[in-house]
Amino acid sequence: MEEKIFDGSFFRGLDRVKLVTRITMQGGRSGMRKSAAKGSSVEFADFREYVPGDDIRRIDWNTYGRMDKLFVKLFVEEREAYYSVIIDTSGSMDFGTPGKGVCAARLAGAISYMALNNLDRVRFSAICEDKIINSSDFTGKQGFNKAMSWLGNMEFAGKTDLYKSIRGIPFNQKGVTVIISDLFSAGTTDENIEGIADTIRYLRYMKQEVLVLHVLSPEEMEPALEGTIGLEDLETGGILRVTATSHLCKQYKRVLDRFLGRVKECTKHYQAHYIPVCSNETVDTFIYKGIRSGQLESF
Amino acid sequence: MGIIRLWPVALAVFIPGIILLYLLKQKVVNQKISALNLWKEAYENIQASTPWEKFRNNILMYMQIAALLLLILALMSPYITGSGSEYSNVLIIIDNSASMSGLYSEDESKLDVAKEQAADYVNSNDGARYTIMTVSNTPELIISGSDDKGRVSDAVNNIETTDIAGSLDQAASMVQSLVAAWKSYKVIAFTDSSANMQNVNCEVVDLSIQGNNGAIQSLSHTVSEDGTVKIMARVDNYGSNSLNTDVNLYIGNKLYDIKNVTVEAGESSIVYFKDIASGKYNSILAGNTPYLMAELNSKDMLAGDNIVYDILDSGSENKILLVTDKNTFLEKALKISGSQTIDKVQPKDAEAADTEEYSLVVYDGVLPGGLSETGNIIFINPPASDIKKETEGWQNDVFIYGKKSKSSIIRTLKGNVTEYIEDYSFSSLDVLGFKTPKWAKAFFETGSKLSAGYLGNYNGRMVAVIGFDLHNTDFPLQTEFPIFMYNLLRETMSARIAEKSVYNAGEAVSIQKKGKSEKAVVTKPDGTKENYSLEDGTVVFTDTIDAGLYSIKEDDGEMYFIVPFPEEESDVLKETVITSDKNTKTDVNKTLSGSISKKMVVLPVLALLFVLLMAEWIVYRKRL
Repeated sequence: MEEKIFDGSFFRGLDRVKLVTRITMQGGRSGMRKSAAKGSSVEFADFREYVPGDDIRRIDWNTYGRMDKLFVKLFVEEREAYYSVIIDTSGSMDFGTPGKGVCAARLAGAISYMALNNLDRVRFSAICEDKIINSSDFTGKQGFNKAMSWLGNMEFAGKTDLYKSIRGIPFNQKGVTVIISDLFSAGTTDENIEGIADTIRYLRYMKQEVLVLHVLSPEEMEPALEGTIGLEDLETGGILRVTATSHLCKQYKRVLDRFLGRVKECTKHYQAHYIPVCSNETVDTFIYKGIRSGQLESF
Repeated sequence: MGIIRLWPVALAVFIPGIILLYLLKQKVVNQKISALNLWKEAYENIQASTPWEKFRNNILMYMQIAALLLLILALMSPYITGSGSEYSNVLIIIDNSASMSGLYSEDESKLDVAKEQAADYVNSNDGARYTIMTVSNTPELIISGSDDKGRVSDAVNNIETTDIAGSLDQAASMVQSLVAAWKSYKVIAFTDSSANMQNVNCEVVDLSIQGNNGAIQSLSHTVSEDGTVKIMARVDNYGSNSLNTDVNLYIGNKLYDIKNVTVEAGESSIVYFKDIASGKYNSILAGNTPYLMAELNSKDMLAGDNIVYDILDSGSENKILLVTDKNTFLEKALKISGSQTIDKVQPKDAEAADTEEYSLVVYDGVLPGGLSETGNIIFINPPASDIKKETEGWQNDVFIYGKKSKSSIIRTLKGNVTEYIEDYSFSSLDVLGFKTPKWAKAFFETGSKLSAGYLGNYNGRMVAVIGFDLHNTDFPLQTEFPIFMYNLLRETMSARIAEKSVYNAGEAVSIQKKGKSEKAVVTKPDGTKENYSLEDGTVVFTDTIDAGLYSIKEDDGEMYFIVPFPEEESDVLKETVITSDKNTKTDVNKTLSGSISKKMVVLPVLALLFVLLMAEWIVYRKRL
């Protein structure tokens, strides 16, 4: 990728927000997220009677004074969240000004920055053709540089069956899966929506909280075509010859709006989160949308 | 609904052009997009690349075709009519005499207006059978009882002006006989002069119009004793205003003199031109253009009478040589010819006489040894003994002996020589009956059906033979004799190419073979030429409907004759007069009665076209 994805202004806004998850973590290493496990943290969870072998430092002496029995204070064990960021690297993502691919990389970078800031674990999965390129897990602040480097090496080309490919990604623990894609795949709109629904259902089954970042370019949202032109599909190479008129563009807008509406409805139905993003939007706009949708919160 | 013009239909050839413009594949530029799914859905007709796809969907094209059709309709001058004609027969009479060539408006002659109105009438009335007649000096049926409106319109449009004098009165009897056979009819007459159709329901469309018209007539010359030539012409002012104009005199094609003349309304003035000197006159006569032309410089309603011609001739007299013993009757009769010189010689001196210088030699009772090269001949009572001889040469051609009768009743045969004395007979003694030679036509017939007199063109000269002695009959004592002699001399001395140098328009011109000429070329005033074969000696040229100068050129000579514009046709102040109660006069600008009033719908069509164009523009703008 030739375009510079990250610059100084990119990080300024991200320092003030963090990602919100609604699932309780299980397993994994200690981190900043609440988990079902009890352990050592500042957050009180419960009392239980002392049994031999317990750390006597955790005996609540005040309770012993009142009850004359030994009780041990239990605290919530904080674990890391596992962020799995799936990036659609098909040819269609290399479209628009600025390109959707650049936007996708920035979004992935932003997600990873916020996650790593919160001592969470991040993994990227680039879906390209039939292959899935998984990154190693990035943790800690030092992991961010590696993540940036990994994102910078992404290439957007070829065609991808996103929904089919996602099933090849291993999900070993509860976590958050972020899908960054334009959600264009071969087939009709109905088939596309069905694919999205299947994918979300699958991810939910795999105990993933799903966040869909739907990236579209300004040219896709407000097409400005004129005359007789051959529309060439970047992925399939198929050509559709049309006489572009304002009437046709309006018709396209109507179809697009209907598609976006159905995607939003589908994600909501399967309790996934959905944020549409235009590739010319800044990170601030993304943060704003994230806060509004409840996926981000400032501190 | 009807239409006036059909030619705008030809513009429909542009309709395929419009369709073609929309069907032509436009140059397609490929543009990459991320995915086609949504576009496919938006553009449901994925077959847009086929031409008919665009054709079906492009409302602009339909609007443009509709606009073109409306334009064509507007150009065709559509009109709305009520019902068909109430008459089963319509007779349209169009006066095409000389005065009808005058201007009715700035760019239309009276005949043009008449033709236009007549064609409009025909086109706007259905269900009638049309008869079209033109009248100049004689009526002529152009179309008889046709219900083919296209053919009738074409015939009306093809009517041409003539320079013949005449009025509709000449057609009255023919019209009466025509309408007598019809149960219901209407007669419409277009004229600018009088029209009296007695006992005929006739609507006369009055094309007479007041205006200015000067005419130049009677251009003539006289050769004085000293050989100079005096030229004069008469200028008539038929208009309602005083006329001041220059009069140009041309000798041949060269301008010779210009005179200015002022003529008050309704008056005439004589113009005298500069004399032509004697020597110059002879050189003109020897040249190629021995004629004068005078022309009025001013423009007026009637152009035909602004030019007049005069043929210059040598004025040489027709000398006659009479070879006879004694024949007073004949000598007196020959003077009828007006010839100034009649030389008389005895038969014994005939051989010595120089017959070459005479235009006519009359041999009475004798035969010459040989025929001279030129000159016309009348043989009267040739000696039977000489004729019976088996001889070689001209005698065998001229005389084909039949039978000699002691006495015979001689009857006249119809022909030019016996004009006005048809069905006349007389008796004679000692009559020679001949078989008529191929080159001649008999004018006297004996009781035994042989020819007792014949005339014809023999080797480029006129030769007449009379087979009896005038002393043996009482014919010279009858009143018919001078008539006969006048006719005979006229016919035999007309060895000129044409008999006269001035003919009335429409008059037939008999073209005679001169010398050994084989063909004659007639050049008409408009410059067109007509060729005639002179195999039979004489041809008749009848196309003299245009006034002007004509020339006849044969191998052995050339002659000019003129057809003057008829004076009576120049009077433009003359109004159309109706005397019959059954005739009605209609102003040309009013709708003819019985014709369906036409309501033109050009403006509504144009308004519709404008609305359509506006709508098309709006659609076009919306599509941008």
